[in-house]
Amino acid sequence: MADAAPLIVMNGVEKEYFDSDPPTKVLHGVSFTINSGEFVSIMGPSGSGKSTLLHILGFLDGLTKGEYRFDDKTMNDYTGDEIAEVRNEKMGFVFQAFHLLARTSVLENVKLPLLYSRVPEHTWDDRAREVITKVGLAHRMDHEPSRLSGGEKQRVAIARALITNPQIIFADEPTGNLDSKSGEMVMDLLQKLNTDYGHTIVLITHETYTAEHAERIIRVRDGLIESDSRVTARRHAQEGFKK
Amino acid sequence: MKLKHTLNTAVAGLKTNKSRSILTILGIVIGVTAIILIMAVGRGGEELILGQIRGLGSRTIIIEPGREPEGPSSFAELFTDSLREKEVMALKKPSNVQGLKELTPVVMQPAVVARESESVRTNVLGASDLITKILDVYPSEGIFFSEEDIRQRASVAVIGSEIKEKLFGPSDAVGAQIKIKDRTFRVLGVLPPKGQVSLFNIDDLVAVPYTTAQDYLFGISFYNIILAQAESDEILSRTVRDVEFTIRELHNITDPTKDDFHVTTQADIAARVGTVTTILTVLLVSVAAISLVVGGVGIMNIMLVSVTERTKEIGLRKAIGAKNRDVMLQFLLESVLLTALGGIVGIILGALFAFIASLVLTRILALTWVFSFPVSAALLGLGVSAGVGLLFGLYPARQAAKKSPMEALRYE
Repeated sequence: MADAAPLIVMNGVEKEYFDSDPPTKVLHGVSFTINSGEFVSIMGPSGSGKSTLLHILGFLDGLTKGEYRFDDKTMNDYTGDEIAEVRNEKMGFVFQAFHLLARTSVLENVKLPLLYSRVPEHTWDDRAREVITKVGLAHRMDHEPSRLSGGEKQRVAIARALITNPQIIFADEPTGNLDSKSGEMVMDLLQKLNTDYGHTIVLITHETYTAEHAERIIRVRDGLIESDSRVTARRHAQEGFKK
Repeated sequence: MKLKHTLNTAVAGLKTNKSRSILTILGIVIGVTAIILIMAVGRGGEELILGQIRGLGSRTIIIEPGREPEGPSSFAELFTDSLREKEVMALKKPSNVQGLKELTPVVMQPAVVARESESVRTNVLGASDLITKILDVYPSEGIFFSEEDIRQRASVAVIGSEIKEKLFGPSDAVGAQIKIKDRTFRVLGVLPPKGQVSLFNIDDLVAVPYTTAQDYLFGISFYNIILAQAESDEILSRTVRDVEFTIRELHNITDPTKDDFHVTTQADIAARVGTVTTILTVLLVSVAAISLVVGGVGIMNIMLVSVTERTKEIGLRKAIGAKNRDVMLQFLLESVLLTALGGIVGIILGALFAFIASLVLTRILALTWVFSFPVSAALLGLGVSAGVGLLFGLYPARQAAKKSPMEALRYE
């Protein structure tokens, strides 16, 4: 791991929003690295800048100052189309609000990223079925999202994030809209993807309990990194599950 | 992203809002329907008029004195007396004019025609017996006057059906006497009702030998018109040129712009009618096209609403890898599909209405109307409506493509 370049390198990243008056500075110089295969939580209270951080990490927003290297290439060197391709092929997103397309079956929702990919079309259905099975929803393949529970919806979203077999999955408060049992299942799934399949996972949360499912926690406060430490007593979703 | 998938996505987008999609295209449907209807009916009307004109034979040549009237100021030149017997004699010589078949001088003036206590004001037409061949009108009762009558300046007349009705009612007219300008004429024949043929209303005229008309009725020695017919359509333009050369030579005119006569053919008249109907059609179509613009603005409005409503969807698509052009193309295709659909429905409705109109015109008004569906108009309608979708969909699609995925996902 030491000889390979880290997947993510943040170096003195600042972010300022100019559309408000006066301009608001959200990040005041943030630096850290994330290696391939890590499971990292970014934790902080609301307004700390953790969401902005995720948006920058996920190429959903630009930065004002500093450098962000993803996959050994500076963000500024990616063209608009390349950014779209990176989001499509190398990153997967899981949102608090699921963001599934209504009136569209689970299968079609999961296939959505493939529409924008170079993956040959004849493999789409097989790939989608495989990841849907992986998240335990094989029996819900043709259901529309409105007929699914919150936990199931989030698992569909995870399947969608997995379909292009990305290097990294960004999960933004994935359990925020779920009851504790469904939340445990989602966390269990994320842990499995990390340990069993080697996906790098970056989890954004404001709860210490959720954050402790990762192996490392980066605490953010007022746009600065407060601490960056390894989790000593890592939680395993299955334990909470059994209780 | 492949076009096929963009298309599927666009179709799915439209289907989720079916009733709104239908209402949105209504403006386009109405506009295209109006355009197709106008073009089809305009074409049919033109065919009808041209058919009537062609009915008189396109080979007819009309020679009139004076320069071709170009406006009200040159109107006086119509009354010149440049056409006389020597012009007729010259034109009749085959060495001067080739391919001229029938030829008759025509004099015409309004006059009062009376029988006993009845009197009516009508046009007195002085011509030769050959006019029957040129106009293809023959008496339905009695006979037309002959060459002999012309030579003798006989006081004989052939009357139109309306004149017969007014002066004689149901009783027999052939052989009876009438007075034209207080001079007594014997009625030789009655013409069948035929309406307007070329320059003449056949129903409302009294025809007499042109010699009689010149000497005893009008007191003139010139002709108002010389009517002639070319042997065939192929030779027509050459015959016309020969006619012009002959009269020019006779009048010692070297500069054609100084002609004291002018020659027109049925083809010229047909072309003029064609121009008029085309101008009318263009005018009406432009008015109908305004509704297309209004429809386009409606499309733009709805697409903007749709883009705002689907902000989250756009954000998601971009987050999972949609490029700006994928999003742009998706929304552009939605508006083009909408308007093209409107165009197709409009074409079908327009053709249907045009067909109904043709049924009404033939069955109820008994016109010899031919239903014609202009394919060019259909293609135009489809192209224009799709173009409207493209034009008015561009702005909303750009708005969609420009959205930042982060802001779009946060949108509530």
